Amino acid sequence: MKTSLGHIGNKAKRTELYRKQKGNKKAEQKDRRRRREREAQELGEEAPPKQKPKTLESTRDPDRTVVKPADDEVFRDEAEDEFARFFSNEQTPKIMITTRPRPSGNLFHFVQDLMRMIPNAFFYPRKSFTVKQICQWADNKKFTHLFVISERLKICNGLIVSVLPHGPTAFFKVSNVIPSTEVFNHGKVTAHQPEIILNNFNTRLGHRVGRFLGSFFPHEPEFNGRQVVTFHNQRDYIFVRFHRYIFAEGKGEGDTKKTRARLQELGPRFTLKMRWLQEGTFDTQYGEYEWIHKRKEMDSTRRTFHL
Amino acid sequence: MRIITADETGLVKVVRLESGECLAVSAGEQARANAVRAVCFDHAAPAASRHRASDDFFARIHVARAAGAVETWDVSQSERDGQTGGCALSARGTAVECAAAPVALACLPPASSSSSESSRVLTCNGEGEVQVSRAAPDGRSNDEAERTTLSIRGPVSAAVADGDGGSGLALAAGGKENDLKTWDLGTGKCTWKAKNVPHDFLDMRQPVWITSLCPLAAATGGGGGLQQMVAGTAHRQVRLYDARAQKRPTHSVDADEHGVTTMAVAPDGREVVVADTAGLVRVLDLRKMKWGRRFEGPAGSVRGLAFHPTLPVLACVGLDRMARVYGYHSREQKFQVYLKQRLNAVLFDGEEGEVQVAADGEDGEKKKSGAKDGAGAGEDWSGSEGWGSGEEYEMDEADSSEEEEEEEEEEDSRRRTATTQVSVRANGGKPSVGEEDSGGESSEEESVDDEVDARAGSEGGSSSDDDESEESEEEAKPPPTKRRQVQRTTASAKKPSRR
Repeated sequence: MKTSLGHIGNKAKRTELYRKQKGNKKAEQKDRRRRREREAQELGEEAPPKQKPKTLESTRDPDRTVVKPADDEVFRDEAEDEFARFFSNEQTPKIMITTRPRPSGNLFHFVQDLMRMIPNAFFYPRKSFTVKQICQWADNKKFTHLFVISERLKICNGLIVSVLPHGPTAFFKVSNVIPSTEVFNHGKVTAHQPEIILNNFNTRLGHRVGRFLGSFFPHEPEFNGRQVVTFHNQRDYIFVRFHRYIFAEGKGEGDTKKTRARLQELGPRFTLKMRWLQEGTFDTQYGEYEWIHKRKEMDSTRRTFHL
Repeated sequence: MRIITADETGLVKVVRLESGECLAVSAGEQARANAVRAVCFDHAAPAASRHRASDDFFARIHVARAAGAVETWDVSQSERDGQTGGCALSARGTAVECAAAPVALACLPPASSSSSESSRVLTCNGEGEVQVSRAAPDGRSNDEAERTTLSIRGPVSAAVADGDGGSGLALAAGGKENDLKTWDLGTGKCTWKAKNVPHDFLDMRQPVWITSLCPLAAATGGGGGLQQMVAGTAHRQVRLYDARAQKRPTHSVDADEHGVTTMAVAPDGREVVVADTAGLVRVLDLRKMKWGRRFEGPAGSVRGLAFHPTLPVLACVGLDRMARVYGYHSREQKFQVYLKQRLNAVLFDGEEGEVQVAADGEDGEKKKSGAKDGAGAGEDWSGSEGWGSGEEYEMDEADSSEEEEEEEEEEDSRRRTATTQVSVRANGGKPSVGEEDSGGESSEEESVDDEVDARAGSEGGSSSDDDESEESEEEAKPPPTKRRQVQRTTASAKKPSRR
């Protein structure tokens, strides 16, 4: 039990008592955990379920737009949306990457990382063209996606992605960029086409964003490469990671010799947050927004998520 | 309460708002090629007769599809799980072919007045191909003969037609770099052309892009064809045209930062609801040309707005896949229904839900006799007390320009927050609506001024009765915060006298 020790004048004594109090608390916690584990082992399958912490995500406001597995109406719509041609492998995505005008040198490292991660991506210097002009040009050259990377303080902070020729276009805020060179023990990317994991895109809008992100990659992964790109959505933040997995054989003998899956990160790491999704190719002036993040209206509660 | 929505994948749904369930979904293949671009009620079923409880049939709608077809559907009551209250959608006749990708659809009365004739539908597509044909033809030989077509200059992004005017059928259309024009559909002649607004201060031509049109007289049932219209533009203006007065818009007001997608004129014709590509839905007062309240909620572009035929309730659908229904006066969101697809159009059925009516009657703050059982359909909209009093009309002085009004408003609010004493007096001295503005206002300002002086005098001990003396303020030496207030109020008080 915690009692206030603030009244003790002697600092050495007070500190000692504080330390003891803390130690006792730890020991109690450990004891409780041990007891729970022992109980669970004894009861076997009848053990009480493991306690789950209450998080913002687990206490999320119920969302009616979550797509149910048997919702044919939604799937029929998705069967012929703008991304269907990529998911059915009728078309291989071809991506043009460009930057804001006059990019800093550091931004090219991020471009490089992106190009390693996404197959069939090509970099073009921005020069002095507008994004609308570039969309037109890229469409003529049979590109399917246009990426425009923006930066602040020499670090990428925004990403416009326009699907060509008919849209949609999305703007993502980019944060927490860690280039692959700074990822500890990072591996070397091979030329294999990666597998994709899209996690937690559950709502109707989430489905759409998930398909949007999935459309960057060709849908015939080369499993020999064992490379995976993960888009993990958590509280509307989309975490992007790039790994190689391996099934390593255990060292022991007999039962203890188990095959374990291990991961090696290839990098880069970054986080996306969608700010808007717009119909058609990039046109912030006259385009129609399918969804636009309105901070004052939408961020009034922390337990409402849109993806 | 029921709404009828139409979406991008070609589904037409009848939705009960109270329960949020789909009562009926149109049959047919779900495909984007079949996307519904516009829907309208049939002319033969006017708003008043659409909600007779005894009648099984309550609406006939026309549906224009992107592929170039106009279908006619009957919405009728049916049993649902052994209970009444269900709906059925049944196709009527065969579909009428029209030009692909229609942008507008309107229902016109039959060519001859015999009751056996079905009404006619008008479609207009983006290239300006207009077609008037009999709705839901039954395959008789003279269908083709009755079909009239007209080719107007494209591109067209908004068109409206009117058949009530008595002077035949009229069509108005506009689009990108294609200013508003009206046609007489009987003769196929252009009857009126709008003129672009003058060049701007840099002597640059103003771009034209009409994206939404609403006839004004039609909303109030006053006839008069397409003489008065409201036009919304992609360049985020809302313009008022009066063909009888002049070719240029009589009024123009700027919207928010996004282009207008759709508008709906309130049934009494005094206000228009304007929606934009980013989901901002606001009310524009047509008499003052000032923006009013806002309906919060839409997360994406709004494609359809509809008023309930009798109640002050507004439905709003758009690309965010939700149908939202608001109390028009309270601007409170009553219902929100998730409809899975991006929605292109909405119609409000005439049925009145009991819960809804009571709720709106209670919380429409400024309405006392507003929505009562829906019995007096006219009262809801035309009753003068339903349209607010007091504060809303505060700025109604006719002669002052907009900016001045805004300044005054600011000043007013500041004064109100400054001291309660002053604000009480300011409100007390407010002139009534009909009064001569200058006299009333100046008396108000004087009274405020006196108040301030009196206060300064009581605090400082010595003060002259002169109202514009800086000396007296310096002598009085009130605490710094109060002093600022005093200065501001005197400044505002001086204004009208200067004017």
